[in-house]
Amino acid sequence: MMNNKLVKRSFGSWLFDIGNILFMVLIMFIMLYPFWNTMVVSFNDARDSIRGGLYFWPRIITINNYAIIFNNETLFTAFGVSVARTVLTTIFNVLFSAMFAYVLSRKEFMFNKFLTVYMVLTMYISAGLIPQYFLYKDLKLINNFWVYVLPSLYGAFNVIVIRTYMNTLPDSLAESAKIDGANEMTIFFRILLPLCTPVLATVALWVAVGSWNSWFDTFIFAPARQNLSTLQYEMMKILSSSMVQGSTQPDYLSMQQQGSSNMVTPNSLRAAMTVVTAMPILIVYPFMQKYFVQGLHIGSVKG
Amino acid sequence: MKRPFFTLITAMLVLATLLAACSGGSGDSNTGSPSTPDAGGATPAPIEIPDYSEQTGISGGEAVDTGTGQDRPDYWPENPEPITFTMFVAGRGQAPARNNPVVAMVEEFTGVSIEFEYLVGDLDQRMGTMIASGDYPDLINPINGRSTFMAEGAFVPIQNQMQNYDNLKRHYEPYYEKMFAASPDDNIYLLDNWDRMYGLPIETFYNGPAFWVQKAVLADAGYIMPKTLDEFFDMLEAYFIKYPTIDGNPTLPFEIISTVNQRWCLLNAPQHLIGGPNDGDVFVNQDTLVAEVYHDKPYAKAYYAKLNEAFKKGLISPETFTRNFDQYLSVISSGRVLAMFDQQWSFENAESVLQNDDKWERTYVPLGLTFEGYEPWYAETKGFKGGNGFGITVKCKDVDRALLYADMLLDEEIQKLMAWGIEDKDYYMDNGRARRTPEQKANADDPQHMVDFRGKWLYDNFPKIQGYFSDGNCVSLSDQPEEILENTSPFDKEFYGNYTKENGQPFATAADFLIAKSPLAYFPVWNYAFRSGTDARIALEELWQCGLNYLPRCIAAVDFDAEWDTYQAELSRINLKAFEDDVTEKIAARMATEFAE
Amino acid sequence: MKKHGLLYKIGKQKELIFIALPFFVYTFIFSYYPLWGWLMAFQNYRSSSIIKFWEQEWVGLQQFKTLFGGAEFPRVIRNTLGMGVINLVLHFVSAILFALLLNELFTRRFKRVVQTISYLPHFLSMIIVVSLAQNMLSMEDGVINQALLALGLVQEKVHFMGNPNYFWWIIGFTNVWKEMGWNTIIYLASITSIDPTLYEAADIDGANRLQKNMYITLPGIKSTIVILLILNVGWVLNVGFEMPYLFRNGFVADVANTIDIYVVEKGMSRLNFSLATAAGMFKTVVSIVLIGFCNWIAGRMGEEKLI
Repeated sequence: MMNNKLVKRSFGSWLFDIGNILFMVLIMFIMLYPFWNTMVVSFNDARDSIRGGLYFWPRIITINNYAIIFNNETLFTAFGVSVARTVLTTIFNVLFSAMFAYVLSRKEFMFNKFLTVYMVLTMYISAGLIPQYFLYKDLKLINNFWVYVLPSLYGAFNVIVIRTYMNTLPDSLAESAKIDGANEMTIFFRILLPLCTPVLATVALWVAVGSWNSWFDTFIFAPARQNLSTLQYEMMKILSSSMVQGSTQPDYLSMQQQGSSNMVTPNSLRAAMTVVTAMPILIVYPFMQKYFVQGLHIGSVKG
Repeated sequence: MKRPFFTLITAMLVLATLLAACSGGSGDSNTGSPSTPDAGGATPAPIEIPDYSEQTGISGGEAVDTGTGQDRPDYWPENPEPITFTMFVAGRGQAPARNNPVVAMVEEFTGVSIEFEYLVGDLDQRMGTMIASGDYPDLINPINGRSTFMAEGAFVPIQNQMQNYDNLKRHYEPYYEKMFAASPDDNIYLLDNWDRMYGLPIETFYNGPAFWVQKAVLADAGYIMPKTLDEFFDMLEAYFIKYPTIDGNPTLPFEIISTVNQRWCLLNAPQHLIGGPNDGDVFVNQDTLVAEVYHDKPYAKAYYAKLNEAFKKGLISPETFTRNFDQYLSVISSGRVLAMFDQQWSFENAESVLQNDDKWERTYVPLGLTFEGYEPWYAETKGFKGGNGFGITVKCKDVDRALLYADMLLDEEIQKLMAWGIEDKDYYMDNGRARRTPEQKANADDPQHMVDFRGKWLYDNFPKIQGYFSDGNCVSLSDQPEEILENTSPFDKEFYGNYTKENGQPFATAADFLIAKSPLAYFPVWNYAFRSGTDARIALEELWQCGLNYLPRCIAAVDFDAEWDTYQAELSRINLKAFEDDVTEKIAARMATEFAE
Repeated sequence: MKKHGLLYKIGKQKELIFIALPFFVYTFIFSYYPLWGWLMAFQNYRSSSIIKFWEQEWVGLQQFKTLFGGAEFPRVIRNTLGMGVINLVLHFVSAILFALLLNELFTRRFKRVVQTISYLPHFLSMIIVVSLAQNMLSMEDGVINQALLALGLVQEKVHFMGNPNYFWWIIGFTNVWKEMGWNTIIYLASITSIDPTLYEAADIDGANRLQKNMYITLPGIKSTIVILLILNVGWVLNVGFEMPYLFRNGFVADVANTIDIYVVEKGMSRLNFSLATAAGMFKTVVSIVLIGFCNWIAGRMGEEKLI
């Protein structure tokens, strides 16, 4: 994508491009396969899947695995909770991480070193589950929607990544703005934030996917409230219940003789679940993608 | 050529014996519709439960008065005030759907609705925060967390209050001792959900541990029944030589899945070979009641040496030790696995594939193998255990109401509603017998149907009548002799017909390959809860891991003795004594109440 | 004089201080205040609503003795480090290389498609990925064995899962499979910060594509690479529980057990919060030492420093 039109391309360059494209096709195949196979399993009859040997196409196509997931009446409120937590967490986390990164990117700031160490350490320490639970209990976060948002208002890793990106930008930008008399907030919002779009998009993607996929916080901090359940937690519930070995209940016996058509297995449900939970992200993703593939044009900003 | 005739005769014989066994039930009186639970007392049915000892080798046993004949107690409220209890279940499962008709009827009758939280992730993590904070729900079905919850004072003692409730009292009175013994102090905290038997139906199926072998192998060897490990492997070898491939792929004579979650397949056989029941990781001397870990004993070595010998003959594939569970099920469902030591519930999904394919000759029957001179003990008769139920927590908003709820659930009409469903929808009555159409049976196997339309997930967590209802129908409809016959495939009828029981009758189900023995009161050790972090628990975990790490290498070893010595050296580092002593102590505690009577 | 200087500085930077203060407080509440829980490492903590925290049994360094005293501990450290280093190297090499190659694609649409597809494995759970990898490596019908046989590279099927020599590499490459695409995101983002005029100048100088990568792109993302490397070295002991646990079997157990697995098995499960806390403290110390060391090296080499 970079200015290829200007270059008279050599034979070696052509060869490389062809090789690169072939390599990418291979990579695509390798990387697509696991997800494709998961889709295949999710659309294949659960009992038939036990045989194994499913690769590229389902043998006995069924939507039964999905029917079981979508039969769950609580799924739609859970979906709403998931969207809400993901959107809020992403907005706050990106904004505050960027803000903190801005402060730490200012080399002349007197507490710069201290705050960096102070923050980096949090990535490597963990107090453990029990103190965490008590903290959240004191903050009245147990069985409260904000337990999904408040504990991750910013991310230390994200701050470092954004700061590193900011440091690669020319200092002159902020300096010139300062001379113009702009205050820190103005510089941050008006000048740096727009320049950082690619890295902010990256961080947003990380945060959004992390928040969307997490179920452990629901499990520990809000397990008993149906209206706080998230999509992932509902999925985990369905999956977990499918792991029950039926025969503790004698009624399940006749499954063997009758061959019920609606048999489910954890594997098939897990496959369908994966597709269902990944889909919203995969649908939203292309709309975000342009922000981080697209290069920014420092030159134009400079001018 | 003699087969069709023989089959017919066999089938008729089986039918005759089974029906005879059941004729004791009230033949023609249809005892009211369970769909109207508030209809007051049902017509008293003559309580007459037949003795099945002749057919099953099991005594018909205990009192079978389930209380239907009596009027409903006058302390049951006519229009109960609605109340919602929260309940944590420390096991996997699924809450019934919100508009589940059966649950709605139960709620209308009792006034109680239950808000379930089934365990989703790791029990210790959830339990840890719950206990530390004291944030308990109203009710807990603790399952594997029972000793921890009890020790932390999560439950209220209920032995006194439960005396006020007729159904609870009658249901549990014969077992008070066991219920007291299940708690660390002298209290009753848990109301058992399972195994309060009102008569013992015929054993229709067996899904516990055994050496499971394909019917085809037995048939090919002339319908023999190997008794010892040597006979067993000789049979497998002969079949393997004769049929090195099945359906074009290599025959796998003996599979041993060696994953943590299926660890018994590799670890647990030795105890049975010397005549012990399934006590998990210890062999319990039935006279002295002393528990011993068996992995350092000569009989264990003999077993694994035999496996090593089989490995060298190619009867065990090296890949068996590195298969994951899915791959294991996959090879079984291909019909190429001749035999394995396993518990049937674990591989039943693979077997159902074989049945679906009509490969009945590739499905399995259990063999109770031993070393020469021991009597096999793989199956047990059902019986009350103690401590296997739900408790009312100290945070419960209304303890009496919770007890009343359990009391009301024990009403026979409600029990039928939860066990059978709604009449004419989930089952139908045919001349006093509860029956199901094929469609109704299929529905009962559909997990989603159970969540949406049946009481299963409520029923599982509360006290229940098991065995027979007072009208002579089995509580579990698949135990009804008529269903057993319907459910047996033609191949199986013929196959089982080649075997006869001691009393001269032909086999009717796979369960007939084992003789169930009645265990002592301590049984079973695998069900004991060992508190996290204790020496016993750590030793147990290390014992499992040590076996899973070293036994595959022993079995696959060129020099078995050397590898075995390495394993033993590693085992000797573990504090096995702590585990053995803890088990022996727990056994003694359970037995003390038994002898006190 | 000095005091005046400080006050002057504070006055001049009051805006920055004003922004930083909430972060300081927030971080303290959510990350530092709960560290009282580390005292558990010196207790035999039992989760309980009856026993108060201070009344728990104090056992001194007992938990650390349990942790370090096991005969298996040195082996566990070796395994963790072995897998950690392999993961680290493969992670960086694959992600950077893939980012550079992606960047060389000249059709934007194709680039986007490849990139999107390369993320997909990230959305699969570990259990699915491991199970797929096990299927591919199996002797029964594994595609890798079939390929090796077809190409004549081996004479008979290889028992990949049963050979301890392959284990760490299987873990490493499965991680690459799952996370390579995801890991490139940050590099692609940081490539965008490179001043396009540099490439134009290089074109005029007649630089070829390899040279442009070597002298413009790589140096342009070097600071990101260095910072991420330092951060990831700190996590080298965190090879995780799940993947080695799922891949493990009796034949490879000696090379498969990591610290996380060891703690779970040693302490029996996660209810032994004391042992888990002790292990967590140990890992924290190792991480801090490693980060400090790397940061120092980076500084010595004139690279961007973390701190």
